Amino acid sequence: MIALATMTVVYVVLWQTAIEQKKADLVHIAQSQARLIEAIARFDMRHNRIDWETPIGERGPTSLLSQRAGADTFSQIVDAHKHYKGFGLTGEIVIAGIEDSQIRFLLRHGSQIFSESKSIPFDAKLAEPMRRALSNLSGTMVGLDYDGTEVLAAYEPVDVLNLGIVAKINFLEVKQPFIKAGAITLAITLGIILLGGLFFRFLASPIAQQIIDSENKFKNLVENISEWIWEINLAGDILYSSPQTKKILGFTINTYPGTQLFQFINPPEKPKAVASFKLCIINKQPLIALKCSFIHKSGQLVHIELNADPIFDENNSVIGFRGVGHDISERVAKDDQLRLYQETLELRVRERTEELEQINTEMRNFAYIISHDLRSPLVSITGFIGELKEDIELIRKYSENHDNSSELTEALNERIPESLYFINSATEKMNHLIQSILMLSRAGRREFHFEPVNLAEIVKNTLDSFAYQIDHFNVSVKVGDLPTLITDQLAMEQIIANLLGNALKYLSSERNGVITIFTEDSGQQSIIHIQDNGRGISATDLPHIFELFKRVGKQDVSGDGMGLTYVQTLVRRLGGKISCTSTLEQGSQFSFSMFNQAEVAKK
Amino acid sequence: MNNISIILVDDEPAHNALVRRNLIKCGLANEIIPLSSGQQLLDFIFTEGKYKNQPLPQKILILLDINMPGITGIEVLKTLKTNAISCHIPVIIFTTSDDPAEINTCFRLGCNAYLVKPVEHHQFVEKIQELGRFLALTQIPYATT
Repeated sequence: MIALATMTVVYVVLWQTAIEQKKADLVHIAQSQARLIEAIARFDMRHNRIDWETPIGERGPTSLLSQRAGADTFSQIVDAHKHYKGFGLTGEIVIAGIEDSQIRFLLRHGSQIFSESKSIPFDAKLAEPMRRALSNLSGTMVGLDYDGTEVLAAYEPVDVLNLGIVAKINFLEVKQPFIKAGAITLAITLGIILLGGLFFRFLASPIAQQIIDSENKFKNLVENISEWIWEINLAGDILYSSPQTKKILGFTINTYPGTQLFQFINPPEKPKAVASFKLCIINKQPLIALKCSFIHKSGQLVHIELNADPIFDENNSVIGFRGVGHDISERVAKDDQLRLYQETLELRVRERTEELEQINTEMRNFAYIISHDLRSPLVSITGFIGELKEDIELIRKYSENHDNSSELTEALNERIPESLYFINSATEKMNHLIQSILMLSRAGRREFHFEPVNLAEIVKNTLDSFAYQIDHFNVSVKVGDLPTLITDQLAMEQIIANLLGNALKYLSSERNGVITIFTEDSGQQSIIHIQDNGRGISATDLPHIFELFKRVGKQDVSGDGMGLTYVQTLVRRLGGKISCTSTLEQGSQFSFSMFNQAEVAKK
Repeated sequence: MNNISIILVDDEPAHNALVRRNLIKCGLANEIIPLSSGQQLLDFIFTEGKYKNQPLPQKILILLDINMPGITGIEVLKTLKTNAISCHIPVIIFTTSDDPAEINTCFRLGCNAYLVKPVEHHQFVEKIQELGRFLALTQIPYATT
C-alpha cells in the first residue's frame, strides 16, 4: 500500500511537471510563430500589400485571402512552414482568422501541411483555443480543437493580420507516456506487492505462523491446564490471571488496576496469606504450597494451593510474584473424609477391642469357673469311689469267711472292681482335661514380667533336661546364634520346652534325629525356628495342630493334645505369631516371632 | 483329748461327708459341724438367724470352701478376719482351686492354712490325715464369746 501511494505521488508530480513543460513548449511555439508572422506581415505592409485601414472584423469574408498582401504573407508563412518539421506525433500549429463570423482555418501544420481552408462557426463549442486566440487572448488550456479532439493548446493572437495561432498537441499524446509509465509503474508496484506477498507467503509467513503457533500453544497451555496462572505486583494487584478462575471460582478475574489477589481470599485467612507473601519478599524465596480458601461466585469456599516464584528487578529486589493456583478442594474433601474414616475406624477399633477384651475376660473366667466347678463334683466322685473300694474290700474279706456263694464272689472279686476301675479311669481322664483347661486359662491370666531373656540359655537348659532322650535316641542338635529377647522368662521356657519336647517326641524311627534351632532377625522382630527331621504332619492335619485337645497322626506317644495350644496362647500373649510348615515323613519346622522391642510386646 | 469343734463349710454335702468320714477314720473324735453356705457360717459364728441364742463352742476351727453360691469363701474369710469377735478363729481354706492368685488373696486376708482338695482319692485321704495330725497337735484358743 505504501509502495502504491508513493508511486501515485511520484506519478502525479511527474505528470504536472511534464504538463507544465509541454505547455511552455507550446506557448513558445505559438508565440514565436505569432511574432514571426507579425514580422513578415509588417514587412509586407511596408510594401503596401495589406490594407491596414480596415480592421480585421470589417474587412469582410474575403478580405484575408483575397487581399494581395495578406495572401503573399500567408504564402510565405506556408513556405516557411514547409521547412518546419513540426513537433511530436500530433503536434500542430493552426492559423486561423475570422471570416463572415466564422473561424476560418488557414493553415494546419502537423506531420503534414494542410493548407485547404475550413470554417466553423465562431460560437461553436469546437476550437476553443483558436476562439480565445482570435479574441485576442493568449495562454494555455486543455480543450477541444476543431476536430473535437481533446488537446493541450497554447493560443496567441497575431496582431498584424488579425489572425490567431494555436500550437496544440493531442492531450492523448501528452498523456500517452504517462499512461505507459503509469502502467509500468503500476505493473512494477503490483509486481513488488506480489513479490512481497510471495515472500511473505513462502518465507515470512511460516516464521510468523510459527510464532503465532507457539503463542497459541502457550496460550492453550496456560488456558487449558487445570492450574490457574497469575501474576501480581508488590501491591498485590493482579497483572495477569488465566481464565481458569472461571472453572475454579466461577468467574474470570479482570486485571483492572487495583484488582487485588487478596480480595478473593476468604477474609479470615487473608492475614495469613499476606504474611506468607511478605515473608517470601523478605527472604526472596518462592512461595511454597500456601493453602488458603478462595470465595467461589456461589459463596462457597474453594481450597486453593498457591505456589509462586518471586519476580526480581535489576537490583535483585522482589517486584512481584508469578505463580499457579491449584484447586485442592477435592483433596481437602478426601482428606477430611479420610480423617473422618480414621476417627470412625479408631472408635470402632476401640469399641471392638473393648468388646474383645470383655469377651476374652469372660472366656478366661469361663475356663476358670468351668475347671473349678467341674473339679468339685469330680472330687466327690473319686472320693466316694475310693470309699466304695475300701468298703468293698472289707465286704470281700468278710464274705470269704462266711459265704462261698460263687455269684457273690464273682461280683465282689471281678465285676465290682472292674466297674470301679473304669469309673475311676474315666474320672482320671476328666480330671486331666480339666487340669489342661485350667492351665490354659492360667496361661491367659498370668501377669507377664518383661525382662531381657537369654534365649540361648533357655535352649541350653531345656536341652539339658532332655539329655536322656537326646543320648538314648542319638539325636544331633544344632543350635545357631540366638538373641536376647525382652520377654517373659517363664513363658519363653514353656514355649521352648514344648516345641523341643515335641521335636524329640515325634522323631522318625527310620533315621537319626536332627534338630536345628536358629533365628532370623528382620530388624523389628526375631523369628525363632525349630526344625526337625521327624515324622512330619500331613497336609490335612496341619491346620488343626494348634486346636485344643487335638492330637494328630499315630497315637503311639503319650500326650494331652494341649501343648501346642498352650504354646500358641503364650506366643500370642507375648505379641508374636506361631506357624508350622511340615511334610509327612520328612519333618516339621515350627517358627514363632517375637518383637525385639519390649513396648510392642506389652499389651 | 481335743475339744475343738470343727466346722465344715461347703455347698457340696458330699465333700463335707468325705471330710467327716476320713477325719473320723483317722481317729479324730472332735465335734464336726457341717454347714452348706457362707451365710450359715456367719449366722453360726455371730449367733444370728436360726443360730440365735445358740451358744458357740469354746474352741472352733473352720474348714472353708471358696466356690460357693451366695457369699463366697473369700468374702466370708474377709468378714471373719476383720471382726474382733471372730478374727482369732483359725480358718483353713479347703478348696478345689490351686490358683496362685487365689491362694495369695486368702493368705492376705488372713487364712491360717490353704489346702487344695485333691481329686485323687488316696491323696485326699492323706490330706485329711495330715489335717488330723495337725489338729491333734494344735492348741486352739478359746472363742472370745
